[in-house]
Amino acid sequence: MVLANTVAIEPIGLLLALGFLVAVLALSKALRLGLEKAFLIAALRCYVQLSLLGLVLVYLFAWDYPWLTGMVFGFMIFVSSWTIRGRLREIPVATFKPVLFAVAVSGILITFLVTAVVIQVDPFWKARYWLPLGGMVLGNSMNGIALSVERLFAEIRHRRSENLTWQALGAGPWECLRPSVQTAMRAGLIPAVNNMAVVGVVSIPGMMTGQVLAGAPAAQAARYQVVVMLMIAAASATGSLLAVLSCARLTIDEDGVVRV
Amino acid sequence: MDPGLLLSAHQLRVERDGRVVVQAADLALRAGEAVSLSGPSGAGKSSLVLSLARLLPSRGGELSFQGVAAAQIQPTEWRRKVCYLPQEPVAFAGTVRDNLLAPFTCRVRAEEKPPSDQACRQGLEQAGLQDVDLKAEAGRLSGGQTARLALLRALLARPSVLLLDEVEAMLDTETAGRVDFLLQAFLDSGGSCLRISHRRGPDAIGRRYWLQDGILQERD
Repeated sequence: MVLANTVAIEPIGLLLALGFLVAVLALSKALRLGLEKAFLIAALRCYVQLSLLGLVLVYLFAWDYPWLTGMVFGFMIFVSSWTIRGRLREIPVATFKPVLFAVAVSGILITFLVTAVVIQVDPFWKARYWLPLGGMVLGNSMNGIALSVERLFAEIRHRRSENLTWQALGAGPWECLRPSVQTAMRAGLIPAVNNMAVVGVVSIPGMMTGQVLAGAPAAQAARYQVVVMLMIAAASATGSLLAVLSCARLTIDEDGVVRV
Repeated sequence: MDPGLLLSAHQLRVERDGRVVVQAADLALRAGEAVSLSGPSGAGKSSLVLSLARLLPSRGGELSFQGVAAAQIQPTEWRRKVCYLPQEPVAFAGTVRDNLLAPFTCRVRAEEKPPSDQACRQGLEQAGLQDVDLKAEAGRLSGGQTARLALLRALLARPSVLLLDEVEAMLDTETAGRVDFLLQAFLDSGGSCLRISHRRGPDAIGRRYWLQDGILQERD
């Protein structure tokens, strides 16, 4: 779908946008942040991935094979879990499996509820709904999970002697983990709450703007965006909860004592 | 079976971070008895005591309470009876009263009645903390006061066995006397106490255990 009334970006415009990259690289160099290489690779990935996405989306939407959509979504789940793993590298237990589990369950469940129950797409796996909505779900639950799991282990480390004392006095492992789990969940959910509070005032969502530009009624576009925001909050919540609980379980040894 | 026997360990093997710290320990604690555990620093005294409280899994041998094998007793239930007091005393967030009642917020003590304010105040007095208000913030107490608060918190929870990890490290002579007084009352009520201590002075009441190179021995 080409928007007749949008200004197209010419190759020269893209080149000029590279000026932003150059500025960031110069800053990184000047302040010795050591991020030049990471920035270059990320920018390159961003360009290649988005260009490929443009090509692939056309076919994915046109063919609309459920198995293909499912495979693509599975790949997205894997990549987001792998990305979280990178952020949690310093944590002393193997978090990949519980994180993959949390991303997959929350991603599939929330996307299904939105397409099948809220928007009532028929069939619910229609690629042009499932993939963009599912992508937003994964991206946001990914952030929530990374923040909450990081916080969980920081809390458990911080409360080490307190936890030992609680358990010495007869507390079970979950009784003594409860404050750490609560703090971790709060850390994972705060971004979603903040996002909802400022949307439409500070942040102007791309999907809604796109719909309005494409000529959809504004009220309709706003309703979509509300669904999206609630969906994002739900995805962060379920993703964080599943990840925090399954990671916390890993700190309990065979005698029911919290380690780490 | 010895009717006064509370906690016993037979051929207990303890490992920590993959290293054997105790090879085959035999140990018994009877009602009304205080024993001491000493040995060079780093010998694994704390590990042994942690495993007696089942806060560190033992890797062999048997552990039992009043003749019942540890495997037959839920870990939280075990720790309700066998209470470990860490070397570094911890005050939980909240007031002194919150701290003294904390053990009774655990599910394992759901059926037990928490001590009254009067009982708490009486305990504070015996611990030499008569100037400390029940509503005071526990986090503001000094190190020595926190140590006595932690001991009192454990005693008010009415365990059968108390495992003390060098409590006197935090105390001066006068407050150490208070601790001895509290412990004596606990022993008189039928409790049993194992106390880790570096010192080998005359204060080591009752039998003495010595741990060195993974071997636990009883000494006279």
